[in-house]
Amino acid sequence: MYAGWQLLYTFVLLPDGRLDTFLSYSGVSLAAGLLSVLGWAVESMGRFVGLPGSSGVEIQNGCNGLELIGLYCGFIIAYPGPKQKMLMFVCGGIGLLFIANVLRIAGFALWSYYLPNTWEVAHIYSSYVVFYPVVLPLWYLWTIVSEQPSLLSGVGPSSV
Amino acid sequence: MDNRQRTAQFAFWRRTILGLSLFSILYMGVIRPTQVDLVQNVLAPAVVKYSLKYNNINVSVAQDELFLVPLDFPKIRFDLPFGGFFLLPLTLFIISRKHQFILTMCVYHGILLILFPIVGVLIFKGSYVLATLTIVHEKFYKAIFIIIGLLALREYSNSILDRHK
Repeated sequence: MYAGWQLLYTFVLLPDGRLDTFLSYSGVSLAAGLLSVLGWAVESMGRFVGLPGSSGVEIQNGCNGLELIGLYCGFIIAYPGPKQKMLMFVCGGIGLLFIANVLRIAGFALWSYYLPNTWEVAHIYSSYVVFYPVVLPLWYLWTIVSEQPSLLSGVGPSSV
Repeated sequence: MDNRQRTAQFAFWRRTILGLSLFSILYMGVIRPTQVDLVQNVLAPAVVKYSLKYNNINVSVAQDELFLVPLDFPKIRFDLPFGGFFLLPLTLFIISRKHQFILTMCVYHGILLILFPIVGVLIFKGSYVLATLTIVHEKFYKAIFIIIGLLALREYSNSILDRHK
């Protein structure tokens, strides 16, 4: 499943760009809306969002969480479990990752305004801070909710 | 769940959170800066110099990773083994005390350390099959070890409950 997803993403979705572009544009648009609602003056167009006077951020294809969404769904679908709950985890996880990405983009815009000198640090570590705390607990939760006996039982000795 | 089970579970989760916090500090403070330094000052200059012999592939250098960018093929990412995607599963294996998995992963990353330069050279020489395999493998092995780590964690958590029944 992972091999299939990676091939699909690399050779079809990324070159085609439409899904990536949709995620980038909608993410930026929602992040700009969020910042506006919270009271910041925002400049936004297409892939760009920023606060006036800052360099802002541009969300490129490949940097909008689509690849991670595929990886997330891959495990949920591959790990056996009740279909209805699986569907809930897939849809809910995609939704949460999308929201996390909107918050990440909004965070980037604020960061580039208030802490422009450390922008690179924020960019590098953002995925660890934003996406992993969503994906890893959801994966863990799925192994519990799926009600499967541990798939690792009997694989090698566990030394306690 | 009785009190003993609750206490054991609490201790387990405290250990998990502590382990993951240590992982974050170690990764951001030591592993990643070392990787960036190695890639920027050692690997990138060597690979860029080597790439000058070939006009079909460009080399793109990011902070801690290298991309081979063929003219007519998707770019191929290489990052150093024993990095964050080694450290995170390692942390999960240590927490869940799965020593055999630690050994397996060490061997796997050790093999990657040897294979990556060979694969890189073969891709420069035009092996698009290897390029495709590298693209597929790149995310695959990272996700798989993390997933095994999570499953090990879950199994360990269950074993605690069983032990304190």
